[in-house]
Amino acid sequence: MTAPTTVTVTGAAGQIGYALLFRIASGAMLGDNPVRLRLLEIPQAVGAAEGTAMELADAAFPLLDSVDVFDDADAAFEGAEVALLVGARPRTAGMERSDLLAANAGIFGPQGRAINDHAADGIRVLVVGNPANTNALIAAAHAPDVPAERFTAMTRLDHNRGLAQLAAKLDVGVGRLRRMTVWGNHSTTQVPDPSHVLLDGEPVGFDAAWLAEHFVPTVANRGAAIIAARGASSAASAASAAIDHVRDWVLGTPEGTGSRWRCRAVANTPCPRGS
Amino acid sequence: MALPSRGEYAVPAGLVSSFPAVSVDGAWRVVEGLESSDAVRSGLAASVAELAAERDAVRALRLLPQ
Repeated sequence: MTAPTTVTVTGAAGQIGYALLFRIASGAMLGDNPVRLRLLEIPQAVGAAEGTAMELADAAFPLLDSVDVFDDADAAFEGAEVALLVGARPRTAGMERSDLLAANAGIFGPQGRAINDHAADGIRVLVVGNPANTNALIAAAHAPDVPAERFTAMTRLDHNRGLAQLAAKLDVGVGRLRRMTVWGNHSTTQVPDPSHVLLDGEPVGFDAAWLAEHFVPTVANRGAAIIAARGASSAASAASAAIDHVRDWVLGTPEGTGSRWRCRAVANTPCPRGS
Repeated sequence: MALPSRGEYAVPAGLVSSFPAVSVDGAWRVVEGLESSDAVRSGLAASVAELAAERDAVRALRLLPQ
């Protein structure tokens, strides 16, 4: 049997964590490989994380080797091969941007240092917690022994939102589309760009006015639209995007499954189904 | 996906920006050489300015290692 892959998830008791952990444990992220979960939470949420760990056990996933809960970053990142940094300080009323950045630097700086000192050599980090790009920059800056490119931030949700809009516009399944692009920051200034998109391998043009007036604002403001509709921020779709990001990173970007540029799996690992 | 820039597409090195990328042999590679419209180029410049402002704010608060 393959040795388990150690995956550390922060903010494990949150809404995204609740959607994410069960899919990791099912094999959706790393394929048919056993996984060892290490969950990090703030002390007041450790009880809730323990409850999620109980449910993970009750789901009896054949690929789930173990689940451990921590409130200490050094312990949580011990031996981590994949780290999903989901927990972040949300913006609250009256909070200035500098306050938000400072509060999150207080989270992501120490986590970067803990990753530097305790994670496995091949660590791959995905920052989901916002402001994700700058949180990733902060974590990377505190991990001088880890190659900077191992710190990534999630724009896959924007990417997937863009694919969904394009598929609806063209009245085709998302699986027929490839080469969606998102540029810049994961914020309302992001630039979702379908100009290189292929439909069944052929270029497809989009009307510039539709892009500017509908597509770009719909994708860039989708998070607010979700909050308005469901009274809570995107959780399951964010978790799904995190799964997509890490799966493609570890297993290689498959061709022909909707969003990716081409397939090249890592040695001895087949491309995921659908490629 | 977003990763630290190495200067691709004129994004200052070190800023964590979203780019077109493929994963090959377990590592992300930015797809270089794509032609972009004026709208995409100007949008990216504005988004990168926001990223630089965030980095500068964090640096000014002395929250990055010196």
